[in-house]
Amino acid sequence: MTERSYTRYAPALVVLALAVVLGGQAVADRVAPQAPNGALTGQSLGRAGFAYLTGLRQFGAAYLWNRLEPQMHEYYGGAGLGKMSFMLPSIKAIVTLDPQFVEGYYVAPEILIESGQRPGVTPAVAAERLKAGLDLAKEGVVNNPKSGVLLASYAELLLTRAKDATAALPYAERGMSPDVVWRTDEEKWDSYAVLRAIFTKNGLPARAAEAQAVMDAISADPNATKNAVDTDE
Amino acid sequence: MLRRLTAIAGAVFLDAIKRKVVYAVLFFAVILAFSAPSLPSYGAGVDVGVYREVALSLTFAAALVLALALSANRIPSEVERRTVYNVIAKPVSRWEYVVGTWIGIAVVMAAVIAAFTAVDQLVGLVRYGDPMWRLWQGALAIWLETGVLTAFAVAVSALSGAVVVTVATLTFAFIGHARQPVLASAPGFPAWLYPSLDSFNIINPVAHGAGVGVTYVAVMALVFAGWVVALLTLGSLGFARRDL
Repeated sequence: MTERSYTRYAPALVVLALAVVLGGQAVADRVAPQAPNGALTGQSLGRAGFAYLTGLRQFGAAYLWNRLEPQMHEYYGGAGLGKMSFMLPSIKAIVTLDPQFVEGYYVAPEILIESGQRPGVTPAVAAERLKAGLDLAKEGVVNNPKSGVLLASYAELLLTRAKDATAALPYAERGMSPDVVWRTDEEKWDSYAVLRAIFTKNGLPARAAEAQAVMDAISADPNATKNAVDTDE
Repeated sequence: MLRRLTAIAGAVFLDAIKRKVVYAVLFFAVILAFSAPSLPSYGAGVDVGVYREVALSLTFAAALVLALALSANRIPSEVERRTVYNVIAKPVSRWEYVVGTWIGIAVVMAAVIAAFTAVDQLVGLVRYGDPMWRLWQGALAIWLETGVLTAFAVAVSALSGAVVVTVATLTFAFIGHARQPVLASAPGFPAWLYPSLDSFNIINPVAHGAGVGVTYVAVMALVFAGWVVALLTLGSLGFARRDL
């Protein structure tokens, strides 16, 4: 093919080729196999990159938390959670970097909901913050399905803040499962007290008694582990 | 014509495999493939599927980097060093030079993607006891997509410098995979009218499903051919009109 004839037919060739592309992808859309977990290429790349950067992400999350925690305990120690809403962007960054950072999910929903109870906040804004807090607590449970403290915390928020004992019940039941992880016996005791209250509220005295039995066993155990004492305070 | 195309492609191939970037990308990609099974996000009970997804994503990322490294500066540097005159002074059409360059890079990419897939298989076999033959379907799709991206890069490089080629190619790849979010904001627009690269996205069926059938592979090949012909034709047209 000479240069001149090539140049003459090139536009037609491009149009024809693009028609093939569009026709081909129309067929591809039809015959594409359906697979679970249907992510786009970019999402798959993102997931892989997220996994490879785990060490860096966790370091970043821990660094942010270490900067935040002294402010929470020292400067604003006696001020109440409602005044700590300035921390929310940092906490959101922490749990985005490390979705397994339990403390972030434990504290942030309380701050959000408490900030809605402050003077001058309209009921509509308070309701929005309650919903956002519950959504964040649920996200924590989804990302950490075996974390006892997050299950109990979310169940407690549903019971005490959303006033929905029925919604809290599945999380209380899940919290009683043997595969759920408790960092200390003291944490387990505190959380089981919440679970017991939820069972009682739902008219399940037998389950409440089971929770009480576990609490009694912890109380009777001289070697029961305690929560770490916060030396910042 | 075929002899001339083969000669140009052969020269590009031999030149490419002498470049350290090929082995550097391959080396780091192999290390990442071996470390994939120990990634902490694997505790979700779908380890094998996640491994396949990560392996294919990694192959795609490595192939994209390599395709850019090989194609962005190939023609611009030949023009700059004036070695292009040695070729076009012979009875070789400019379009043959453009197409031959693309073929050479595509062959290198095929070899690299094949090597990487073999490593993925080896890791899969050692770690999970599964040779994961389906990964080759994913490898083929990745090669086809990188072929299109390389054609785009070669076409742009026939007119412009390496930086423009790199930015333009990454933009093309991004737009090519943005069909779903773009069309979500324009309901009613026929999806098939959006020229995309999504036809080559078979990571999910390969990683989490039963792979793709022969019909789908044929359709992918058809879309690939359409893209490559359109892009290389445009690139050749631009190069033919370029005042060297």
